[in-house]
Amino acid sequence: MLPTIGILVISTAISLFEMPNLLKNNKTKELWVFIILLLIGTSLSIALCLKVNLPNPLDWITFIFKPFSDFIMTTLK
Amino acid sequence: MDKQMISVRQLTIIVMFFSIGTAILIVPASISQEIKQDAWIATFLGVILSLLVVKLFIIVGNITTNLTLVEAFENILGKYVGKLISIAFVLFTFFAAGELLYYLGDFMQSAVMPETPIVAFGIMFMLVICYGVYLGIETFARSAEILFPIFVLIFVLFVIFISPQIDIKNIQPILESRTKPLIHSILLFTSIFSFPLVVMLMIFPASVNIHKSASKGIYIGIIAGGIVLVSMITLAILVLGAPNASQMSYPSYAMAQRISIGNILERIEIIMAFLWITTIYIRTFMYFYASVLGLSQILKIKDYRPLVLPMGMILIAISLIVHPNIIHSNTFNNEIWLPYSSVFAILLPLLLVVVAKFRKIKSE
Amino acid sequence: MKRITIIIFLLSLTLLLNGCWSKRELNELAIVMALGIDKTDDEFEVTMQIVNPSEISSKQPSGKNSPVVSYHAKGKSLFEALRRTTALTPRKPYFSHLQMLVIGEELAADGINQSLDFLARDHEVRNDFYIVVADQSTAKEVLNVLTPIEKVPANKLKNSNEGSQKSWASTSTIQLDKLINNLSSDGKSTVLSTIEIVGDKKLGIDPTNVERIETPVILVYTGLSVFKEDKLVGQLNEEESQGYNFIQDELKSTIEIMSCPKGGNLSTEIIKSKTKVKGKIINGTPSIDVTINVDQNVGEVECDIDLSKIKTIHMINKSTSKLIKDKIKKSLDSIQKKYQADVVGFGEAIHRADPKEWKKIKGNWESLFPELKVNVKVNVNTRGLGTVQNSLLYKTKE
Repeated sequence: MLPTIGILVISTAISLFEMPNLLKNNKTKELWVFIILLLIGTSLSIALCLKVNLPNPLDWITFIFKPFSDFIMTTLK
Repeated sequence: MDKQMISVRQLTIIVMFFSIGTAILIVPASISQEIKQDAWIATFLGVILSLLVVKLFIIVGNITTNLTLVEAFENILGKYVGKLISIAFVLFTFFAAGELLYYLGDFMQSAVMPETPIVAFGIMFMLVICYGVYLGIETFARSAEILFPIFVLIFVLFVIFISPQIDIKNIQPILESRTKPLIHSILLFTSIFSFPLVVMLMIFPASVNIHKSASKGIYIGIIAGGIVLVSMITLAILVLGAPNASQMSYPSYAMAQRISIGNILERIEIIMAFLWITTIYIRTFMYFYASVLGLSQILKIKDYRPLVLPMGMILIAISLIVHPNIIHSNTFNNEIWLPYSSVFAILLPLLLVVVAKFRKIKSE
Repeated sequence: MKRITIIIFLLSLTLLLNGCWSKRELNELAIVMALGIDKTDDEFEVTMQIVNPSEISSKQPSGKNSPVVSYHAKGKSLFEALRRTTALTPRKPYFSHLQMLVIGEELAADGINQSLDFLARDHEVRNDFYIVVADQSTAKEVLNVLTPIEKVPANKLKNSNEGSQKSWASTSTIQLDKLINNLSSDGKSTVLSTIEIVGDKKLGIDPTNVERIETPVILVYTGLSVFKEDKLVGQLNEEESQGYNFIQDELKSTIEIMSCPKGGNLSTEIIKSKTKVKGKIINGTPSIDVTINVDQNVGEVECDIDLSKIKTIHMINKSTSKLIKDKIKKSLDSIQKKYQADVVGFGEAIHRADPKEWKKIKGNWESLFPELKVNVKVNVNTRGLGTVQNSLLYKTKE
């Protein structure tokens, strides 16, 4: 519970830090990207705190490249 | 944000630190497992091979003057293909940064402070890196310049202090390993040492003044990095012996622990840890900077600074997802990293060169 | 406004400086100076010799309490036994200052591999302590002996191990790295210095042990213990241990006594010794050449001899060379024939010389080693005579 609140606090701090600047200068595209990234970051961090089993992108990469890796291993052993 | 420029000297220093990266900690173990006491030969040949790899990068840099790599993708390969490849590249650098963040945390935790969770190290490190990216590449380059003489001093002292414990017998017999494992080790080393330098193409032509001598600067940087790594690995074998060096998680740190001069100069290994904290910092910074800059260029955002903090937050989360434990990290680096990084470091640059030449021929 | 926030931020950072997550205050540490490992009924028994700081301090030792305290615990593995000790110790043990590791005789006979992995793997345990084996006693008994002059017995053990290796060459200082390297190399054998308790073991623990001029119970190093694979198989006596140190190029100084032609003895002090071990395989038969170059001084003259003649010096050189050669032969006999354990690294020497041939005979090394031909050549050079030329006490009668 406590880490989750901490993360939310940090997220709001970050947005308070950046948002005024973006709103003032009317940078809508940046604002949207900022919000999306912040949401991704916050949700990932909260999910980690709650010990949700998140998928590991490196595992997908491993899946794609395993055949090449096996090929290298067999030819160069 | 105004266009920031760095000098050739700063570029050389960054290249040197970047290429040393985590290799200074990992390389002795992963390579000596296969070819034992000939690991230094593999490192040496790997550095020479890396010169060719760097030549490829410089060729790409010469084609894409004033563009960063991401911009070059779109420019040369067309809008849609370019954007797709850029996204893949940004993900590549981003995940690599996450890996490094995990690695540093794991090292600090297993060797120095076992009760501290890895997140703590990640957060501390990211705060510095986010601040650095915020301030821009020029400030970062200046910080690298400041770190450089300290690094050299500590490195030279390290070599001097550990040399009394060298046992020349540990490196004999020379060239005992068969060719195939030797080639594999050379490739493995090159993939950790120089393939990641493709990230430098994000700053290489675009942010460096005096273009011509920049190429020379990159060569000097990588040779300097190579000297450091070859010395490290050779010392690891000479001092610890091949069986120990191959099984230890952090051979360079173990070597630093062995330093004992006149019973007074002992237990200074944490000062030596300054060496690799520096190189890992430079490498993580570059990866992160590349991904932030790359993302902003894909989305055609002029100023990347608003993206820094949220991406930093994601990165800390990624660093905890990407490797659940050190064994996963070691397996990934030993097996998957070679083909995975060669796609971005060899295939894509070659693709760029070929298509660019092709287009040039077409337009003439 | 921005400046003030920055200053407040920086100042608040200093709040973090006074400690870290993994901090351990000095008064929470029990500094372990020596560790003893024994095997009793299939379990590990661990003895920790912990410093009692108030007794060691130079200001006001009360002299009533012992300078060190020892704690014991048992467990199925070394790690478990060590953790169990926290139920006994007032503070959590801290291993980074470990000076000595003593392995009990019974455990050594059973095999020491099990005890070593924890020590190699743990981040607190460093590499700079010496490892020795107890003879005819348990490590527990060795670590329960109080020593005069050195308040902490672990320090005495460490210093006399070093001292005897430097000046008498009957022991060898071995640290964890080297031990593990020895045990994991081809051939797989090692030696460890032997420590013995002379005197009644039960009295050693009494403070009266150090209250007399002649300490009744003392700890003595009596040579080297031979391990085959990781099991104790026997001891090398003083002479054989010196021979071992000669072969390993670890001899820094020792004494050789030779008999003079006219009766009586002459002692020389070896000040420098360099050994080269070369292996070779001819027609599938391995052999070793050991070449030793020795520099010495005449140390003690107890006979009627004229040291001003070159002829005499040559004779001294030849005698010493023969003595050293015999010593080495004796130790090789023990090592090769009696114990059949390659503790001198001859297998590795052949591996370094000719890796391809070595691969062929590697499997048979156990049976080849006892019959291995070793050619020993010793070149002795007498450099000086001390501060007296010819002894006045043993003058040639004119």
